[in-house]
Order: sequence, then C-alpha cells, then structure tokens
Amino acid sequence: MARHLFMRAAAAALMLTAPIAVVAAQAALPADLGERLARDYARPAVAKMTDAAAALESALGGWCAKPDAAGAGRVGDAFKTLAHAWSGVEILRFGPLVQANRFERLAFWPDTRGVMPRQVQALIAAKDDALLKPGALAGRSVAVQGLPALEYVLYGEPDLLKQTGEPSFAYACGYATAVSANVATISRDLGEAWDAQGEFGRQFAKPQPGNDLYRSSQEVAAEAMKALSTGLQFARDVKIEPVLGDSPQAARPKRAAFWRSGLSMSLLAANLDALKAFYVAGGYPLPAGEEWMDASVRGELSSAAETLRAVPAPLDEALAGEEGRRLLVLASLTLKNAKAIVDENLAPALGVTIGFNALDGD
Amino acid sequence: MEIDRRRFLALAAALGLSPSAARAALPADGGPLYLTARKRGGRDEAVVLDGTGRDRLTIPMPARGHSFAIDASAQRAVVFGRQPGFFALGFSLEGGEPAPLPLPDDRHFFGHGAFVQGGRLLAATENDFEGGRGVLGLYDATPGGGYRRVGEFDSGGIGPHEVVLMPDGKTLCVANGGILTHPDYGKLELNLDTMRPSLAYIDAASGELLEKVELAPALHRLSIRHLALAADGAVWFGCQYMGPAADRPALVGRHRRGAALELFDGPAETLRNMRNYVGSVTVDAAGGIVATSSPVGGQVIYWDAASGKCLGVTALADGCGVAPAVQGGFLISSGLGAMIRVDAQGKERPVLPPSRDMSWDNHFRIVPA
Repeated sequence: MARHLFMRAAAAALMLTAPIAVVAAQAALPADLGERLARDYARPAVAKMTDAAAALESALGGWCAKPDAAGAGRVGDAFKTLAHAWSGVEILRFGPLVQANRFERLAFWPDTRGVMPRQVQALIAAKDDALLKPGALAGRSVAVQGLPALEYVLYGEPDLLKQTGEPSFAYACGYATAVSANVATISRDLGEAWDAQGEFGRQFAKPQPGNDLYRSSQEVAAEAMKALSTGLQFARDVKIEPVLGDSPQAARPKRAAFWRSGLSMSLLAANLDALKAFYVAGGYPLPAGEEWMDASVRGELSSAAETLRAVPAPLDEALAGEEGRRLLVLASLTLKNAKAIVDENLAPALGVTIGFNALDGD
Repeated sequence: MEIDRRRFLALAAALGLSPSAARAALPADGGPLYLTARKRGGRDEAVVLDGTGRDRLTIPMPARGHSFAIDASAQRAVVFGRQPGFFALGFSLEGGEPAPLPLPDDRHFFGHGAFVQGGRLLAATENDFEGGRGVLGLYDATPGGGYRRVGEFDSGGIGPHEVVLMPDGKTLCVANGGILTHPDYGKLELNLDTMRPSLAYIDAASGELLEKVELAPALHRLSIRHLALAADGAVWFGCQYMGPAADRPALVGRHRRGAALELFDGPAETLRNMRNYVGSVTVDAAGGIVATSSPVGGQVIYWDAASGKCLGVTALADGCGVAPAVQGGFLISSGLGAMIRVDAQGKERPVLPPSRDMSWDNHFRIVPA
C-alpha cells in the first residue's frame, strides 16, 4: 500500500513537468491553419463516424429480425469500425464535442462507479418500448446513450452476439439499434458544427478579430496544441497507467477502455494514429533548425502505436506477462516523451506558451 | 496512524528531501509574512516570504503543493498537496520539523483547509473517492495532538475545494466544485453531465449542514472553487466553467447568508479574457476590494465588494497567486517566476523578475497580523 501511495504521488508529479518556455525563434503560422485542421482532419473524421454509426444501425436492424451467425459477424465488424472511427473523433475534445454533453453521451468513460452497467441492465429489464422510438434515448442518462453501452450489450451483458436465444434478446437488440441511431444523430450534429457553414466551423477555419471564439491563427494553434498535449496525456495517464499498475498483481485489465470487445489496444493505437494525422494536417511551419521536432512528434506517435499493436492478446494475459508489460511500459514512456516535445518544444516554437498555472490549474 | 508518518518519511527520503532542510525564519522586518507554494529548480517547496519576496523559511514537499490553513495566533500553518493530494504538512512559521497529517488510504486532499475552534481543530477538504462524495477531514490541532484524525463531516456536495471560516468563528463555508474525480484518473472530470456545484455552510462543531445554495440549473457546469471574505462578511467566490468555451458565464460572485447567489460579469472583453477560469480570490487589507486571478487569461481583475462593479485589470502572464499588501493593493505572483505589487490606484511595481527556475504556485496567502 505504501508503494501504491508512492506511485500515485509520483504519477501526480509527472503530470506537472512545467513547460515554462522561452520562445527563441517563432514561425509565422499559416493563415489557413484552422481551415486545414477542419478540412483535412476534423470533418473527414466526423463523417467517417457518422457513416459507421449508420452502417451499424442498419446491420443491427437486419440481424435483430434474423439473428444468424453471419449477421452476428457483420454486426461485430460494424461495431469495430464504429469504435475505430470514434478513436479519431475522441481526440477533438474541444468545441462541438464538449457542447451539449456530446462527449459523455458518446463515451461515458471512465466509469469509476459502474454507472453504465447498472443503468443498462435496469433499462433492459424494464423493457420500455417507448425508449426505442427515434430520439427517445437522447433524453435519458448519458451513460446509456453511447459506445460503452453498445459494447456492453454486444459483448458483456447480455453478450448479445452470442446469446441470441435469450428471452431478453429482442428488446436488447432493439436497444442496441437505438443506441447506434443515437450515436449517428450526435455524429451528424458534430458534423454540422464543424462544417464551414456551422458557427464553430466558420470561426475555427476563419479566425478573425470580430469572432467571439477564435480571433487569430495563434488562438487556433493554441487550441490544437492543447488538444495534442491533452490527447497524449489522456492516452498515457488514463488509458495505460491505471491498467498497467506497478506490478502484474496490480494490473487491472478491466480498467481498459473497451476491454469487453478486446479492442482496447487497437483503439488506443488508433487514438495515436489520429493524433498524428491531426498534427500532420496542421502543416506547421517550423523555424530553421527546429525541424527535428516534426520528425520526433511523428516518430514517437508512430512508434507508440506500433508498440501497442504488438501487445499480445488477450490483454489480461499480456498484463500478467513480461513481454506484454514491457511493451506497455515502452509505449507509456514514448508517449511521455512525445508530450514533453509538444509542451516544451513544439508549442513554444509556434508561439504557444503554456504557463505553470495556466497549463494545469486548480 | 504512525504508518502514515513513516510513509511520508519514506516518500521524502525517496525524493531526496529532508525536513531538516527547512531553515528557521529570520526575525520579521515588522511587515507581515506570506505563504505560498512554488517549484524552484525542479523541486516542490512551501515557502514563508516577507513582503519583499524574500525567503524566510522553505519547507520541501514530496509533490506539488496548493494552499494553506493558517493559525496566526500560534504562528503555524498546514500546507496541503494539490489535488489529488496525498500529503499535508503542519509546520511552525518559526521553523522546525514539519509534521505530516495522517490521511486515510481512501481519502485524498483537495488542497485547502482551515483551523477552527480557536485552533483546536483543523478541517481539510477531502475526497471520499470510492464513495464519490466530498468530506471535511477533521484533525486534532491541539498542542500535542499531532494532527490525529478525529473524524469527518459531509461537505454537502461533490468535490469540495476551498473552505473558509466565517467571521462568527463557528461556521465553515465550503465551495463544493461539483466535479467528481478519482485519483486513478488524476483530475479528469467524471460527471460533467450531472455536476451540481454549491456553497455549503456547515456548523464547525456539529457538522450540521446549515445552508446550501446552488446556481441556476443552466449554470450547473460552473464549478465554484475559491473563496474569500469581504470586510462586510459577504463570501466572494471564483468559478471555473467546465462547459464549452463559446459560453461566457460570469465567473465571480458574492453570497450573503439567507440570500441568493449574485454573479458579476464585468465588461464583455474582460470576461472573455478570463477564459472561463478563475484561479484564486483574495480581498485587500481593508476588505473592500476583491481580486480574482485568471492564469489562463494572464490577468487579475478587481471588483468593488460593495457594488460588484469591475474596477480594473492587471495583466500578468500566468499570474495566479494574489495576496493583500499591507499598504493597500495586492501582491501578485506568476508561474513564470515574476512577482509584482499593485497599489490601490492600480500602479504596478516589480518585486521579483521572471525567472526560468521559479514557478510561483496557485495561492499566495498573508499571515494575518
């Protein structure tokens, strides 16, 4: 327990590497920075998710009526595609995704108090048909509206993909379909907000003095660097460290995001691919002599993703074994380094300074 | 509870710290003493300063600190680890070995506390993180009490942050920020959809919840976090908005017992520049001017405690710590190492220059005379 405490204190301290940067050389940011990030990254990522949610809804529709093995395979594949699409959207945790509880509605996680399983079970037991009508789910608890709930129904309780004969099947399958439709609706709303005609999309893509939200490329760059930095921190501090623990005995595989479907590592790797693509879309101009940062950020993100994809399945066994733990520790260190480069080198080189208190206030 | 002490010492040893590194305070120059936390050359310290920014005493800490409970009559204080904080150290302003507080395994500190019952008891805001509820941990602060943990009160909400003792000396006012966190996930917000921040008044002797006030439902993501008392007894509070950046709610407010919460937004541009974030709240020596800092926006804003009118702004990059200056006005410190004095007319004078090796932390406290 003493060691546990020490680990916690150490982990807390690690988050505080204060990037108090003095800007040496600063590059002129492209005027179309926001447009690039929106056009080349955000809009396609959101569109992919909208399509994937609609595809899952349709796959479920057919399978619920006729639950055969081939259909179950199609539903599983469609879920996997949707979860991967979410990994690309998840990193855009600002603007439209934090409006109207969208992030929580799409992915209520981490769920330290087990709210989602409890509420989903109660909802399935109650078999309220009104809840399956279009739009009805949107008014309910965020925990029953999104991907974790969908995964729980498909792979957890009632483990729909395997338990087609259960008496609760029809309702649970209808509920899964309703969740898919809800995810599709939220994704469409996200797409509208990011669109060039949307209020957010317009300001982000065309920052100008009259705007309320973004008034310069500098402010857009600050948002992008913050997203990159917090995305890296989330991947390491929330998705790897609590799962890994400081020993095989302290590992907690069920703390992994999407552990029930066995997609944890592949989705986390997809988060890192997404962060890399989001970074690349910016096309950030670096001052002469500072080009190494570009290679480092790309290299660390690719390397961490590759490392995570090499973690052997299943995850609980990997967490107990030497090789699996070695790979996760390596990925964690790589992400830590990537975050340090973003905070201490890349952001300042783009004129984005992050203060000790401003970065991680309280 | 001895184990907690051993634990801290083991922790301190592991980090190469030693309580004996603390220096005795020099004789005071007649001016007041100040307390703050900082990172200096990569090390976390609590520090006692004079009004010119000179060190009087440094206390090494095992991790980043946050704020202090101060017992001026006994010339002592307690520094709390920043949330999720797993240490708090009691120390004498005159020097000597700091005493760690025995924190139970299933609690962590939020970073604030207050002495009550004339210094016989210490109340600290804490997280019962498995239970998902806020508490005030109670510690025996009598001479020889060794800060033994003697119980806890319910804080009246989730995520209690700052707590202050009201002028009656009997009532605690707690800012329940409303944000559910679990130390396994650092400061990650786990309940943004259902946040319900509040101000709670709690009887310091019995723990009875005397009054609880909440914001309008539309402002349920406006986390009430920091508090200060004006001379007229009103509680001033500073908030951090957890909703979208496009929203621009007022972040500063006032409350009097039995009344509704009042919010003050100031000019639109000033509000925009606060970036939905207030890091600390302080009242000047005369108790008529309230200062609220926004390190994210790099500015400190002043308010008339009587009217709620915005009086002016001081820009200081990453400025967060604000304390009253004895001559009127304020001392302001920054995460970039700078410290300045601003007089009652808003005129600024440098106290310490920015420094790459020094980061002044969130809170800057005066030891009352």
